[in-house]
Amino acid sequence: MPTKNTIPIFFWWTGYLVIAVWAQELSGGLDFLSPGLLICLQSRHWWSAVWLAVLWVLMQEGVGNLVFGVSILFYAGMFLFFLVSRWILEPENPFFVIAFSLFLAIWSWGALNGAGAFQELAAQLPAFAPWVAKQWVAYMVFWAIALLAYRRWVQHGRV
Amino acid sequence: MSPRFKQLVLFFFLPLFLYFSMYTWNWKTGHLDRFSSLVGLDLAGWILSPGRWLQSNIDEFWNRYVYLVGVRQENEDLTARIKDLETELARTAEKAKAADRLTALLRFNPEPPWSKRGCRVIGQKLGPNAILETMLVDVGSAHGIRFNDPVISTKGVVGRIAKPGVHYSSVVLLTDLSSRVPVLTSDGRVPAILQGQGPGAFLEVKFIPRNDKVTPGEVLLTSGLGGVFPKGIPVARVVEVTPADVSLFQKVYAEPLLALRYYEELLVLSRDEVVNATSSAMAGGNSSSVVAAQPPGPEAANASASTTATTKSSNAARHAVRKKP
Repeated sequence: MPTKNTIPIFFWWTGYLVIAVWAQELSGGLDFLSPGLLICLQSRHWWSAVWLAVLWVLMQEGVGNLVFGVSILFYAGMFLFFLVSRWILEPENPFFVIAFSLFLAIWSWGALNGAGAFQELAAQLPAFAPWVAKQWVAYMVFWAIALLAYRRWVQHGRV
Repeated sequence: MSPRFKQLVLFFFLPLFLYFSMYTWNWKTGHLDRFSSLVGLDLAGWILSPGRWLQSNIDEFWNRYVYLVGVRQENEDLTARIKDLETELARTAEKAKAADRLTALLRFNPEPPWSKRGCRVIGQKLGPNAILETMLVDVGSAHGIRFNDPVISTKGVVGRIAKPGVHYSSVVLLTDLSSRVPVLTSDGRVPAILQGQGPGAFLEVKFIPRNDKVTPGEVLLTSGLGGVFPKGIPVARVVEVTPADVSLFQKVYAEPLLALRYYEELLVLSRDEVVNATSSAMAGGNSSSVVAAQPPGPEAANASASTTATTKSSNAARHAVRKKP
């Protein structure tokens, strides 16, 4: 039962998608969709995480240039690492998000490079350190803003 | 079978098997690529279009009604330029008519007509999977746009359609590493292949024999070979020519005639269907017609990318990328 000052979940995720796509466009190719999925996993909304993952996969694969599949690999890795790291740290812990964002940034670079090499695609892939650093910061900042908004408008209190 | 082994099979080997089955099936058929293009490109397009529309209207309002510095001077300059161009046009129109007469006299096959369609650039690199040099334009298969259709501006070639969606398409730019355009030098009519070297780098002009004359400043035009681009569109300008020492070919670099990423409106060229079918039949299914008539789809994109990628990997080792100064 939604409490006062909450907005329907559909409109929240539509708004999130619009802002994330604009952020991807303005940042020149960084990923801003995954923090939304992380919020779903943290709040244990498993079904929301599944349909969001399907939509995010179609979105990233659709605007990308790789053969379909790399996003599935990326989100599967993200989900696995989330389950594993939950044994060590609480998902609400800031250190969890810092470590998890770093892992995601490295995993994203690895998956893209692996797919590019596997498909023998003629492309200039980004250098490891600058790209991972930018993506890491992007994940943390976007996750923090999205979480604040999520707590304010969708689910009050701890996620 | 032990429970641990069952778990290993269920949670590791089975998903891995399913993943690779899906990957291989899609690699062969391209169904998932096509579906994700339809969903992803259109979704991104619908999200970005209103913002771009608002931005262009604000820009237009600012330039037309607020920021009027130098408009009078610009108007006078443009009037003078129009007079010069009118004189030039009258002179070249006579030459063009003479060329048409001579073509008819020598019974050349007429050039197949191309239709133009204007489009707006609404996005650049959208997300981490966009690893090629691409941009998003607001036309798609619903507007008759197909895979490999040339994309140009008023100054020259920009790229070609790499992924047509329903209402939005992805354009791969001339500077991308996978881009190859057959060209001719404007003065010497020397055929060559223009290859992208990535963003911020000069384009490499390959296969110009050591004895053929090419000079810096010369414009490269599309040669029409390969069937993707029509003949005679300006593509790039030669900036550096290094004579060959032991190689059979000269080292030639060129730069695009326009800043590819800063264009807001572009033109997509499409072959006329009826004439295309007729010319294909007349040509007996020559290679250029086959390329142009390739159906839009990822399998075609994959085929194109994979053929170019093999040459790319060997060429990348031999030729260092020449960066712009």
